[in-house]
Amino acid sequence: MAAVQDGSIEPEPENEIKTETSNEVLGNPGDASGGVPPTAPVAAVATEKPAAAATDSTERQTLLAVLQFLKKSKLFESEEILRREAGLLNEIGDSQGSGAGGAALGGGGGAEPESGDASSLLSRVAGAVATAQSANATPAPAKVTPVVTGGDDQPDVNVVLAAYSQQGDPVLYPVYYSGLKRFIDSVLDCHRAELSQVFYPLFVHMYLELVYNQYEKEAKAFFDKFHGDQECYYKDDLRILSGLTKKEHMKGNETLLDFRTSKFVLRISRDSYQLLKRHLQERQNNQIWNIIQEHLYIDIFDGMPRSKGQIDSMSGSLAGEAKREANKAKVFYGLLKEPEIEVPLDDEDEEAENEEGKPKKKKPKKDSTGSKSKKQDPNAPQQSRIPLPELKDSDKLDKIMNMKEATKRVRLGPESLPSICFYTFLNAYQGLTAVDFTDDSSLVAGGFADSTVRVWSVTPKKLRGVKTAGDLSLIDKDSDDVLERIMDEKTASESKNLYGHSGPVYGISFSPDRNYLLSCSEDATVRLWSLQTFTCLVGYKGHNYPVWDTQFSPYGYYFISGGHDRVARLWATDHYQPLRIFSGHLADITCTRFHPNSNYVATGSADRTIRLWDVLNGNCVRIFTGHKGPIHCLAFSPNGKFLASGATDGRVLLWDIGHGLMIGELKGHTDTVYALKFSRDGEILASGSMDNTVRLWDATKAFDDIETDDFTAATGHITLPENSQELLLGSYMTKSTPVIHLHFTRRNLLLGAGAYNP
Amino acid sequence: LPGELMKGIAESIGVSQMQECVCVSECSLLSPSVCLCSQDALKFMHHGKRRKLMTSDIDYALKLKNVEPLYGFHAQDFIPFRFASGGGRELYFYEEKEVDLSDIINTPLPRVPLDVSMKAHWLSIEGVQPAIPENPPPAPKEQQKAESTEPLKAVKPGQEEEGQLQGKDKKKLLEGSAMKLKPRSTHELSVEQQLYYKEITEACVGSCEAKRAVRVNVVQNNLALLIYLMRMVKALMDNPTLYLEKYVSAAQRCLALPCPTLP
Repeated sequence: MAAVQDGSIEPEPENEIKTETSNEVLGNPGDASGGVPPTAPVAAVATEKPAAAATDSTERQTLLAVLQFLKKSKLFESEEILRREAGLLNEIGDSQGSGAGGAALGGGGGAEPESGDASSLLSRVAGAVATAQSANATPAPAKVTPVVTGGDDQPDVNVVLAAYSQQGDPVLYPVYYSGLKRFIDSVLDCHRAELSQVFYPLFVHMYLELVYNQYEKEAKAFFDKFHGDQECYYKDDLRILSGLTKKEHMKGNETLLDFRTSKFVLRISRDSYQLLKRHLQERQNNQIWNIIQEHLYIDIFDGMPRSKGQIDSMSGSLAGEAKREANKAKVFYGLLKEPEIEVPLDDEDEEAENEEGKPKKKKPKKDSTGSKSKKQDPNAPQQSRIPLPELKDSDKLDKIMNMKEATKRVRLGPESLPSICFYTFLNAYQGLTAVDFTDDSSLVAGGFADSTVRVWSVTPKKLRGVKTAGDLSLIDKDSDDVLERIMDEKTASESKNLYGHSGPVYGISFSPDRNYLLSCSEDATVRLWSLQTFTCLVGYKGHNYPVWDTQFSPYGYYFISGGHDRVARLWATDHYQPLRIFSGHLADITCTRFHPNSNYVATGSADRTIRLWDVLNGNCVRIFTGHKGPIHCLAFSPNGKFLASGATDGRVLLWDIGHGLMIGELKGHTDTVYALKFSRDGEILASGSMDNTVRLWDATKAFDDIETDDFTAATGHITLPENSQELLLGSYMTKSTPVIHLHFTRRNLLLGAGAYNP
Repeated sequence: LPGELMKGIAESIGVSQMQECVCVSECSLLSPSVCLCSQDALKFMHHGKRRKLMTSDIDYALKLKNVEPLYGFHAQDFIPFRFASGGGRELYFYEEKEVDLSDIINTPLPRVPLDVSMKAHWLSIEGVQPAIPENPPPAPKEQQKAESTEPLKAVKPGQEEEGQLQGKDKKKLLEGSAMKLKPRSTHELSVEQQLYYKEITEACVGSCEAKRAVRVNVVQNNLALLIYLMRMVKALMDNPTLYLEKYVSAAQRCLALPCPTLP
């Protein structure tokens, strides 16, 4: 998106002309409200433009628009003069049916207070596709077409800002709004909740229009009068809005601009929608109708109108809810088949893994954690859908260890709660910003605000670095314990510090094979560290803004990072540039997680939505709305079907990936939830938060109720049961230690981590 | 942002007379930038897993917008703003003291703060929180009352029994060991607790004179027993960490037994 230069003259004259139309006097420069730099007289501007030879197509369109207006207002002489000076021929002027649409008479919204007059021609000057018919339409309300930026070289921002033409007399905005309020109050209860969804986006858009058109006083009055009516979960946004009183303020704010270009999505039942439409298409309410058509996308569904509770649970995001089509793509949420590795019965002497089919003296146990059937799970992706790294010998060893540990795994449930071992970081001085455990729980790493990364060994085994090259050449390479010999005993220590970042480290991730560590930081880089030498190997530069989170893929090799620049990037460790860029969020990405089958990536963002992206082609396959604050943690269930998310509003929401629906809400935390983890078999969900507690929830029960397929699949609305209390299995307070990270060991022991903060 | 802010800033840099309207317009230009900057600083605070906004957050937020950060505002807790009022205005300013360079050079270095270390402890053992020093003290009375009146609320923190007894004789405080209460199941008293219980009851109502340190008349025996019992009950009730409602009925029954024997 091109940066908006204040000096760009393109939208300015249009604004001038626009504001002039309300007074219907051309060439009256002094009426423009103060504060806008290019307050050159309109007439002068209009005449200057042709001098610039209208080489630019947009300038040409502006010119044509001006001509049209003059013609319509019966200012023939002025029109003639302008035409002569511009050197334009007559035939170019009138009905431009083509896409150039410079006439832009497709704009609805009258310049005069009475609505429906299509004479506000400059509402869609730049690149709007206006139909020729509506261009010369009768004063019947023309359908407002959205601003289409296709085929224009004008920067999007200008187009967007130019979209804020004046829709009617600003002084009457409160009147329109109150009128709508009265109407909605008068409808039946069942429709009222749905129609009330319209208030917030309407309020914001109307306010921004007033600000953009420099009606500061009216904007302030409008804001003061109606901001109290909005839903409580929008109050943060409203606070930001209240600070925005001038047009210049709008230009610097990218999130706000994106908010304008993307339509706010509402889901309303057909009956309620008909009611609203009928009411608004009466003459005096046309302004609101125009605004709605322009800035709102109403996803109509057939069915019962939703209740307030249902609506409240799904709303809260920056762009409304998700359209139904957004959640219709097929998602392969099943797990990849585990490769068959034969587990030797005798641990000690059969350390080395076996190839399949190798004859053994004893009959080895088959890998039981792998899929039991040979048939492909219809919900699982193909094994080769995403190229995954080959299993190395050490990986196979790991898998065998994994399986052995799995047999000793404690079965958890409401009657058998996990024990929690908590690792407290002392003397961190509020600097601990990220923590991660290895999968086998042998190492823990912490990222700090002083830009260091420290790795500790949890087991009694110390951390050792590899010997220097000189020493390495001296060892006997054929000995059995060569892997031990390359380690330098002199460097053995409990913890190792990794220096390299130049800003607080916000995300940490161990690789599954325990060879690498990733860290991402405010300095906009992601660094790969080796855990053999404890030095930095690579710095991935791609984001230009702080990177908030990073994670290795469960199979290694790929990793994902997301940051302030509102995109998430998929990298491979051996490529210096990202393989995929997932863009679509309206605000920065605060949390990124891989799906267990490594084919999908979930990103949580400050725009209060969670998106699921397909790694193969970068498409966004799911959008989940419902949180009322930025999302700070995500967790996939081990079976890949469900996703849990925690945000600053203290709620944990549960989502069904296959159907794309919210299926549960766990209330209980009173502060931001920073840590979420499912137990190894998915029976328990543990959540840790800034309120110094760890809570255990019954995941099997939460997901059990959903197995019955009685969603209204067409509308996708569920009434969430208020069963947070029943699902809560335990709540454990720590001593002033916010819980930042949780990890279930392979035997289902829960490890927690946080910094002591007296 | 009020217009006086601009006036104060202008005066601090030497511009003496600024018109009211100029101040107001300048302030209105400032306020959204300040707003945006603080929004960004909040993001850094959230990602830093903190509740307190620090000066470093604001510095990083400014860096985000390609603005130079403010230099010299690092304080551990709060920036020591000084309050001054005068001339009809209130002002908070940061007092910049002038310090002699030689003083700074010659002062001994401050103590190096302790390095980050990691310590592990059991937050919960099979669902119950042990009462070790690393865990917070057990739930206060009110919470226990809530638990007992709403048994379905499955909050099960461990409960620690601290004996804080005000016996007639001076006794030292006995710290009780953790009593694991499993609601809806039988109470298991560990051996320690049984010992402890025996100790306490003996001290209060035992007939051993040395422990009681009070001469007791045979006639008054029962009455004295009752008194000691009541004192023990009072001590138990006074204990802020024990909630006795569950046991009231049982206690009443115990107390009622000696009564018929009273003359």
